[in-house]
Amino acid sequence: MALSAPAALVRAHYRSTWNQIVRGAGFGGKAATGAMLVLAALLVLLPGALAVRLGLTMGTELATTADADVLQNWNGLMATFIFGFALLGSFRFKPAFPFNRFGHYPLTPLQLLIADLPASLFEAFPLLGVSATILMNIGLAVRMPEMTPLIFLLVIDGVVTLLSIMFLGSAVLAAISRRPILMVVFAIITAGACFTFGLSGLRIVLGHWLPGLVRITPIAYGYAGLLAFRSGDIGKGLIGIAIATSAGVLLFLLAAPVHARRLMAERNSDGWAAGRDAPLRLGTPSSSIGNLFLRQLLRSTAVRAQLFLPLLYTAPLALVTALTRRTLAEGKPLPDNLLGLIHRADAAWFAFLPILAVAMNPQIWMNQFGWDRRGMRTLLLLPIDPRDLLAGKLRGLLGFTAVQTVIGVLPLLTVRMPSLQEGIIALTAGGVALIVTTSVGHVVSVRFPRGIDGSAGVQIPLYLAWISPVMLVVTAMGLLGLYAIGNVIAEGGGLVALVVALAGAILAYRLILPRLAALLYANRERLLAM
Amino acid sequence: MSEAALHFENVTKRFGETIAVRDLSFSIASGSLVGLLGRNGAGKTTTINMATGLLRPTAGTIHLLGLDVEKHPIEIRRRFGVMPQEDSLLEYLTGAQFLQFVGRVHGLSNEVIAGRTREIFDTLELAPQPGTLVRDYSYGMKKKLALGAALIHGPGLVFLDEPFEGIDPMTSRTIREILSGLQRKGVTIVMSSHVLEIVERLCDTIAIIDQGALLAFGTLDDLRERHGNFDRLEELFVELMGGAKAGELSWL
Repeated sequence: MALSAPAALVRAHYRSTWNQIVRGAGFGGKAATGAMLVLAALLVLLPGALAVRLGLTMGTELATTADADVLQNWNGLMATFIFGFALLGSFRFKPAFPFNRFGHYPLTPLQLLIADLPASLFEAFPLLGVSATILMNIGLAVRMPEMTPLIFLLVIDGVVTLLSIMFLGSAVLAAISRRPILMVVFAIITAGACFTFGLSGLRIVLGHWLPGLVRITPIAYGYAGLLAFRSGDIGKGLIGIAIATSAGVLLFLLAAPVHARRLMAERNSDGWAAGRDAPLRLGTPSSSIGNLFLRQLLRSTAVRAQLFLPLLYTAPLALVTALTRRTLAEGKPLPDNLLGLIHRADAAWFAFLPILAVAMNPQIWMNQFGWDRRGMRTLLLLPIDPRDLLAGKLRGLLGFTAVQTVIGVLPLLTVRMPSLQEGIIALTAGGVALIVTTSVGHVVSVRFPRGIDGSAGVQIPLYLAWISPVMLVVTAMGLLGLYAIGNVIAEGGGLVALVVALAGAILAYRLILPRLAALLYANRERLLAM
Repeated sequence: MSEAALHFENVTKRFGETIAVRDLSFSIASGSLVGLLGRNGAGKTTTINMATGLLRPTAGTIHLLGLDVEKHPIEIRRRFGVMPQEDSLLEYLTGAQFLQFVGRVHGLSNEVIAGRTREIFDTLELAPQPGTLVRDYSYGMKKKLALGAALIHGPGLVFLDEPFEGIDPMTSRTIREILSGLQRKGVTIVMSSHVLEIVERLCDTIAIIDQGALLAFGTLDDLRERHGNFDRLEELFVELMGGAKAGELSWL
């Protein structure tokens, strides 16, 4: 049976993804992918059941009383799922296909766009937003079965809105990530506004602006129209539904060309910053490889945006602390448990930051040769000892994590300076985490190499997704345990234990490096096949 | 061990069930310019990849300039230069930076590299816009840069996989002159190509591979002696391949 062009593209996309899994990891990969899908389904099941239950409860109230507060809460939830998850999705979203490679086939941009839609939804955040929206509306439809066609229409409208916002948001972020200075400016303006307006400003935003905004979203008009329809006010109902759907269509008409342009963008230079002909600084073989690795990471705009990821955590932390201090200074009380939590976070954040930075880069440390792609052939043909290749990757990761940590620590420094002890803990714990994850990353990278195009996404395949959280939990728990045991043995013993741990990690890395290098050489044919 | 620049002894390479190269044995004398011929998928690139240590033979041994390729992977890499068939450059560098990296890995000073880079760019008419990443080079420019990288350290043995593919006629002529010059200086060259006229004109030794097996090996005179007289290399090649197929598609 002949397939439509978008269906054929989607089928080819998922078929080739599956073939890559089989080629990359064989039966183990299929099994691990299956296990991860089951785990993901289980993780969705509980919140999914809650969403249906919530939909049933609120649907009952809306069906019986059409209460304005309940409607406002419902619209708030819908707005959170649709707008909130769309914005979160913008940070990670990449077009699923490198569509420009299909340019010589008789495919229209619209066909390519339609083909990309289902693939776009298979990202964590949009999938969560869409599934929550659908499940809550299922609950609503159970309570208002006669309104099911209209509810279905509003769900479709919500999904289209979510995708449109994600397309626009990711396009804006991609543009900003090409100019890091814009990100810094944005962060400074946000932080400045928060510090200036303080807690009262936050209260105004959360207490007045957001509810006001929710009230005027097209989605709110849509559900108000739904209830009007139900109560027999056809005119008001039609207007509400028309506002919602036409806003969704307009937004899609605005986002679709932007997204299509990204899909059809020229491969050359997309995703890569322009170069300069300045001579490289090359020293020892491993430092040369390290410099090259750092250079290629920083030239990839997809990775460059990642430098600023710690700010997503440290800026709110600094903000909350600053607001807390201001509140206390104003003589206003705060709950003891909140204060305790803030104090504990305050005590730990400097020490935790380097580990956090390492935790944010699994797609890099688990695919250290991915950016070399076909250049791997050159690296293997040159007289470079595989030990230097691996040690160079460690150096490059060290440089990248250091830059990330420095950027991440800036908001925290506006609150207070770290003590010497905190500095030592941060450096030692971060060092151990980096060495452990990079070593494991060496193995994963040579066993399951995946070539990365500068313009493509850098996601970890499902069958490897479990490695990063397991590694980080084990490493963090180990470090915490060592620190605690050291402190039990003697005062300041925790600090000594971490220093010893770092020395041990460096020594162990040197000892296992020849074996890791032998593994790389034994797997060179896999690396060539990227 | 023999004095051969490259010596294959009963070399076989399997990829799963597929035998890419079967029981290959030959020796290439130092200073030869060898043309490696064969259909697409015949095993030419696999042979070059095994000779350079990129692929491990399933059976047999390969010695390069007297060293076992598997036992001395780093040492042999200092002695040869390779221009791979596929795009295999470090695409996030500019052309000059790429040559600098390759030269430094081979132990050349920055001054020597800068001089040779200028010469390579001039001779091969490689003139990218300043700051252009290798990624943004055209196919032909990438081939030229790969040739420059293969030669920058002055190797004694050079492997060229399809050096004339995608190259303009003027550069093709320049490359032919470079190769002739290298041969005169005693450099051994192993080159795969589908351009039989160039191979016939340039190479002193011909190797023809099909389905991983060596069908013919020797000088043109040797081949005439063994396989009967022929005017052009193409005649022998077509005959060894079992004749050409009729080129017609039923629906056109």
